Amino acid sequence: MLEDGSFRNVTKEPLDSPWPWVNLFSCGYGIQGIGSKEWVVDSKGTKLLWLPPNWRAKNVEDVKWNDNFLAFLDGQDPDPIIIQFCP
Amino acid sequence: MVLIQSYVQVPGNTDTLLDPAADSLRFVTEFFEAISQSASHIYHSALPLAPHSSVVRKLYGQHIHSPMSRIVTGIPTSWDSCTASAGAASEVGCAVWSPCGQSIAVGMGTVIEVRDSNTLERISTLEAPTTHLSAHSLSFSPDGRLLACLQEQENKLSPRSSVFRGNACVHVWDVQTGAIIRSIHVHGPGEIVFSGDSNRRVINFLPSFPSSKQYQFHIYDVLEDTQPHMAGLPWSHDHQMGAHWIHEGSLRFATSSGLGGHFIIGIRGLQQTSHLLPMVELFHVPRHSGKFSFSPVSFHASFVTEADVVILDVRNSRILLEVKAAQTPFIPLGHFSPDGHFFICGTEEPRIFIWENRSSDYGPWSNFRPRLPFEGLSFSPTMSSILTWGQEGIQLLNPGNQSTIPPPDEAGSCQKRHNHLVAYSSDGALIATARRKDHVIKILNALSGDPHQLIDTCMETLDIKIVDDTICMVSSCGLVWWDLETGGRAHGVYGVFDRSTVIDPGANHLALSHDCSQIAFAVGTMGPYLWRKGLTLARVFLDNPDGPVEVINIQPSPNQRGLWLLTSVTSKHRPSPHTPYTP
Repeated sequence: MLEDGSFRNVTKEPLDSPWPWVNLFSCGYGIQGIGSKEWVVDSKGTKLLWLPPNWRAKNVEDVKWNDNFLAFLDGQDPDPIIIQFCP
Repeated sequence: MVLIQSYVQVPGNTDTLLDPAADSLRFVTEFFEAISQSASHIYHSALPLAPHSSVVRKLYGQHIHSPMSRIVTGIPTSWDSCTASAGAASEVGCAVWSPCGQSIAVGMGTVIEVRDSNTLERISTLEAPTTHLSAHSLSFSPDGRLLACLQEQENKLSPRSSVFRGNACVHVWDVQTGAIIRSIHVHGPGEIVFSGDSNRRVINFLPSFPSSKQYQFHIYDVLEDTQPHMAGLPWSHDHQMGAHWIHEGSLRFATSSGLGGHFIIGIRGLQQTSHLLPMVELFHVPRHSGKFSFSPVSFHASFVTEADVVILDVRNSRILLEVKAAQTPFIPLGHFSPDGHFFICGTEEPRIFIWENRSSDYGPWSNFRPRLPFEGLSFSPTMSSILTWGQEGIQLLNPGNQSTIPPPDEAGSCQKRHNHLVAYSSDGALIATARRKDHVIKILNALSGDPHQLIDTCMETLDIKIVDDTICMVSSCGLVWWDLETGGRAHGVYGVFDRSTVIDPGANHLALSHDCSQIAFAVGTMGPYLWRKGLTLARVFLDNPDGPVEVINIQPSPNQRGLWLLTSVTSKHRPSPHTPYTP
C-alpha cells in the first residue's frame, strides 16, 4: 500500500542478471582502524591516530568506511564520529 | 604535575592557576598512552582529541596539524568522568587504595599489581608462589609499607559457601621491595584486613559455620611466626557476616539471618585473651537482605540489592534513603566516602550514582556513565577519585562530574544502550544517522560535520541506507525513501510487513549493491526482499523444504558478486547453514 492509499503489487523478478555487491566494511587505503587495538594504522603499520577507549571496537556501533572517511557511533552520543584519514 | 596542582591551591587567582594545572594533568593522564608512544602524538592524537573546553586545547589548539588524520566531528565538549582506565589480562577480583592514595593494589588471579593512582601505570607486580589460588581480598597496612592478600582456591560452584574446605593463603609483601614478608596458610575463605592501629596485625574473617554457633576470626602477626589468636562471637542463629572493619582496636560488623538484621557495633577486646569477645552495642533492624556497608563516622548503614538501595540509621531503624531500581538492576555493593558525607553504588548499565548525606537524609549528588562496567568500587582516601574494578579492567572516575541524567528511579529511558545507525552517500559527502526505533534521520556533511537535512520519518526506523540521491529506510511496515537533497515527500512500499507483527528492531538487515542501485533487506522471517530503484520490489524465495527461514544476517559476499545470507531453519534436525545466494 502506498502513502496515497493505492496498492502496488509486489512483483517477483527473475534474478539472473549480474549483481555485484559492495563491501562497505573496508577502506581502500589499507587503513585498519577501530579494531581491538588502540591505534588506527596504515598498511605500512604507521600509527596514524590513537583511539580513546570509548572509540574502540567493543564500544562502538555501525562502523562504516567510505574511501578515506570513517564514521561510527560510540553508543552514547546520537551524532556520529567522523574521521578523515589522509592517504 | 600533581605537585604543581597542589602548590597552586592558594586563595585568589585559583582559576588562572589551578585550572591550567588541573587541565594539564588531565591532558597528560588522558593521553599518556599516545604521548608515551611518540611525542609527535601530542599533535597527531592528543590535541585533536582534547575536548573543546580543555584549557590546553585553547592554549595550543592552533598547533593542531596532523597530515595523517582529521577529526571532522566527535570531539567532546568536556572531559568525561573517567580520568584513567586500564584493561586487564584477566578478571580483576579485588582492588584497594593505599592509605596515602598514591597507589592502588589490584588483584588479578594469582598476580597482584601495584599501579599509580593517577595514570594507572603499573609500578610493580607482586607474584604469589601459590599459583593455584586467586586473589580475593587485599589490605594495605596503615603505613602503606605492607600489602596483605588473601588468596582462595577457585570454586566455581560456590566460592563463598559455608561448606568451603579448600585452600586459602595469606601473603604479605613489602611493597617497596616486592619481597614476600610472610605466607600464612589460613583456615578458610573470607576477608583479610590490617588492623587499623597496627602495622603487623592482620585479621582473617571466616564465614560462619552452622555447626560452630559463632563467628570466627583469626588474628595473625605478620612479622612473627606465631600461632594466630583465634576469637569468635557467640551466635545462636545461622547467620551470614556482612561488612566489618577495624578502627582503633574495635570491630564493627553486621550480620543477618532470616529473622532480620542484627548489627553488632563497636566490639572491643582484640587484645583480650578470651576467645569470646564482649559485645558493646547491638542493634536489631528490620531489614535483612543486601550487601552491607557502614559509614565510618556515623551509625548509618547501607543495604544494596539488585532491586533497591537503602540507607538507614541503625540506632532507630529510620530510613534515610530508599531507591528502587528501574530497568537496570543495582550491583549489590555500596561504599561510603571516608568522611561519611557521600555514598556510592552502581547499576549494571553501567552507571554510578552518588548520594550526599544531608544530615536528615541522603539526596542525589551526581550520576554518570563510566567507560567500563564494574563489579566493585571505592572512594580514594582523599575522596578525589573513585576506583572501579571488574572483568574488563580498572578505571578512575572523577566524583565531581555532575550529570543531567535523571536519578535511577526516573531513568528508564536512559538505561538502555541505544542502537545507532550510520549510512554514507555514494560520493561520501553526506552521512545519515538515525537511532533504531526513533523517528528522526539526521543527515550531516561528512567534510564539515554540519547538519544538512533532518527528516521526520513518522514511523520507527529499523535501518537506513543511501542509494544515489535517495535515502532509504526499512521501517516497521516496509521500505520508505526520501529525496536526499530536499528530504521531500516520502515514497514507499508500505504493508510489506504485517503491522500486527512484533518486529525485533535488532533483527532487521540491509545490504547495498555495488552500484548503489539495489537494496536487499529482511526482517526476521519476512524476506529477504530485493528493492531496485524504480519501485520494483521482489521477494526472494529460498528453496528450503523444511519451511520458512529466518534471515539472521545479510552481507556482501567476499568476491562482491553475490550476497551471503545467514539463515536459520525451522527443522530441529538441521544445523543453521550459511546459504550463499548468487543472483
